[in-house]
Amino acid sequence: MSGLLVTLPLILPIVGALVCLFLPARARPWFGLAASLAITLAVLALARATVLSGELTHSLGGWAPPLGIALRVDGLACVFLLLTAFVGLPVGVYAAKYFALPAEAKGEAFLFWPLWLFLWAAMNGIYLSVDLFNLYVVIEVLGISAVALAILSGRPAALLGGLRYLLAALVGSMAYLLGVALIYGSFGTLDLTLLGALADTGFTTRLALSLILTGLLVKTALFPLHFWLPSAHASADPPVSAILSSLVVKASFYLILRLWVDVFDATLTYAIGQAMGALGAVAVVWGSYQALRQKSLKLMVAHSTVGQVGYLFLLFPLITVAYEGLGDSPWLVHAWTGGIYQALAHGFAKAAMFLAVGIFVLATGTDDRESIVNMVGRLPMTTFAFALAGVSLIGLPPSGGFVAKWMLLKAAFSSGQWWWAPMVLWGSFLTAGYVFMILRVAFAPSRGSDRLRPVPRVLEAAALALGIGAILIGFRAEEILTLIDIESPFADLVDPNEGGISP
Amino acid sequence: MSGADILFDFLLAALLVLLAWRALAAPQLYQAAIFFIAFGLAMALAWTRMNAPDVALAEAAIGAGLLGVLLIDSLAAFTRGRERGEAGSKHCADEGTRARPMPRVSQAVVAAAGVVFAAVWVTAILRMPEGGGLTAIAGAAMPESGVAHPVTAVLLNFRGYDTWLEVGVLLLAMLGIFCAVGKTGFEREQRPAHIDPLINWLVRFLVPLMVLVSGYILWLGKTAPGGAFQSGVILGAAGILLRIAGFRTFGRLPVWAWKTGLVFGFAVFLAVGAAALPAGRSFLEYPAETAGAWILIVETACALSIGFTLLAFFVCLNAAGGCDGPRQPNRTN
Repeated sequence: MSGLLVTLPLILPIVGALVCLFLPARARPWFGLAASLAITLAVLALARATVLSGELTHSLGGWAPPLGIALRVDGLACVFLLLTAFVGLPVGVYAAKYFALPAEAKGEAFLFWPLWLFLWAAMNGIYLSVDLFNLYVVIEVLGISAVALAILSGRPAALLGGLRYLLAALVGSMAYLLGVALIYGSFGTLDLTLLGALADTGFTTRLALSLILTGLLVKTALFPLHFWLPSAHASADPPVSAILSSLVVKASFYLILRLWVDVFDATLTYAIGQAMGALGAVAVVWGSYQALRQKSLKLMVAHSTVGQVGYLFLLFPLITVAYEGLGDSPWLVHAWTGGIYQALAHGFAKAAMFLAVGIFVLATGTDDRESIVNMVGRLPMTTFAFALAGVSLIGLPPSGGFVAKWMLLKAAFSSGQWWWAPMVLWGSFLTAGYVFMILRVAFAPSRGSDRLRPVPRVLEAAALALGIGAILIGFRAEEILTLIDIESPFADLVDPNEGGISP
Repeated sequence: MSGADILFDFLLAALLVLLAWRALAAPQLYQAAIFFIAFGLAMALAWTRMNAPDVALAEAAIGAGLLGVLLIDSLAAFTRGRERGEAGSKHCADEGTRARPMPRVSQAVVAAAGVVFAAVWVTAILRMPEGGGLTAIAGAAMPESGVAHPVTAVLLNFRGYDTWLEVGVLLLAMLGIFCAVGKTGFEREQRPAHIDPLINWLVRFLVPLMVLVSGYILWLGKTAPGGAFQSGVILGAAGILLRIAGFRTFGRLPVWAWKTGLVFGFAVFLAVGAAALPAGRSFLEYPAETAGAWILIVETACALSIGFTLLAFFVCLNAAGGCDGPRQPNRTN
């Protein structure tokens, strides 16, 4: 029975994608949404089983590692599976309506559902797999379906952005694969659990780690390897931008996190952790500053992703001291949960923001920042969704973004690595800058008669649902923390009285 | 290993580097494509030297053969655009096939980076701990795998999940091509008024032979190097030959038929794998006694789909070629 539970999050989206290919265009959104709902239920059932009985494993083909490939579900995997499902569902609702609009029903939009379900399967595959080479294959599935989605609109800008995205993704995969080859040559196994006990500090392992990290950093778009992200994410259709920015970059981040704590903990040093943190800190400032400078709404949101991805990497220097024998302090838990919380909060907020901006562009027909005057009067629901997402990105209480940044700050101070704290705050100020700049225009009274094209209510509702999600996860911290702690490397450090999340 | 072997390997390695460099530095893209094909063939030779005939077959067929055809055909598309006399395509044809020359400084930097990386890489290989690998474990499990050739056992049984997803990557690549150039390629496919009688005769002679070889390679996979991928590529090549000779391929098929052709292998693999779950086995686990038969079914389905998909790559890109810029918005199903 556990076999079905573990594999359904993989099988369901793929069956859905294949069936969608054969359905007439009108039936696809309905079937796609039904499949999305089924996947969400399957993921919920899996999470429930994990909470009740702890870690679940499944050997594919009946061959246990090291010969075969295993799937493993722990708390961390569950959290990311759930994030994908709960962001994917509203984005799917939005897409079903968006691609049915007469103005947008062009290009190869009918391929959205098969590609999106394939992409979903790939993300779930990454969260479940614990085999280094299988992860390479799943990353390929992820990369190709993501690129195909990015060029779905067929606009020249999208094709150009998509081509860059493809080249960056391929270079990243190559680097990763070279690293995997060195690891297999050294240790004769690809299973992450087995490798965790074997990885050493030799030159070969160090080189393998650098290659794998570089490959994954390209895919996660960490500064300075973010060059492909803004053009690819900004030129895609809004639902696709939301998926790429809020979910796809998280998949490679998840993989870095998993390898960092499960496999390479013996290979890592204080310096590597600090270097990752430094890149993250520069990304926070650079991405947010670039977002502030953009005149185009979609480019602004895309650059904001570069900055918010930077926050994710502040987690690494804070948890790496553990491997240097500097102690088993409770702030490790803060750093760990803070980083994961940032992934969750950004997932919801960025999806909401891209969907909201998509509605603005749809209504005004232009991507210009100054065109959204008096949106608060004309599209209040969408403006509200944008504002909620902005609140979470800035990190104002009581949003999910606040919990994340608060925990990272707390960990930075109590670990003595205070130098990360100003970077967190600086990023928040810059983020506040671009969010309020948009809101200032949105609240400005309109001059003359500027009529909007009608926007379906469903689109607004989907954006608002995600915006509310970005705030609400700040309130449901207890449940999420329980889930994160299942089989977490820092689980035994949790101090129930500390909790550490209440403001 | 004798001295002659070592000398041969060194020459081969030097040739690989030289061909790769020439492909990058060629002033004309046509030259670059030819060097790339030569590189693929030399690479195939290198794989045989490393006792990996399965990989060598795949490299020669896909790396040199199929990619070569796709590259040269894409380049020819620029010229076709010019001959059709489309607006703005004159510029495109002239600029399109000329490689942008790399500045000397960049060349030096790239070369230096290559040398440094090679040095680091060789150091890492020399310092690699003795890991052993999984050959012994795989050997012990061979009797239960249902086949006699270890590579097939790994690809279709021990790590069937990877292979299933790889077949999915091929399908996704096709969907990606649809996104980039549309599906008009299938509809635009036309039979020319006149087919050269010599070519006609040659194709009618070669294609049945290739289908036969493809089937043989598929069957061989059970006991020797061969199997679904190699067999599928030969099948695809037979189709491409037909298309180049002027025969219609996809244009004759109804939409559902070519869609089925594209997903067939992936779907059959999934169905066989998922059927194990209600029976209480693991996902992608074959019934113990009949594993060999199930592997043959899965391989046959995959070979058909791989051949079909590779042909679809060619037909789609070939007809969509030309310097027309991005595809026209169309609403098709």
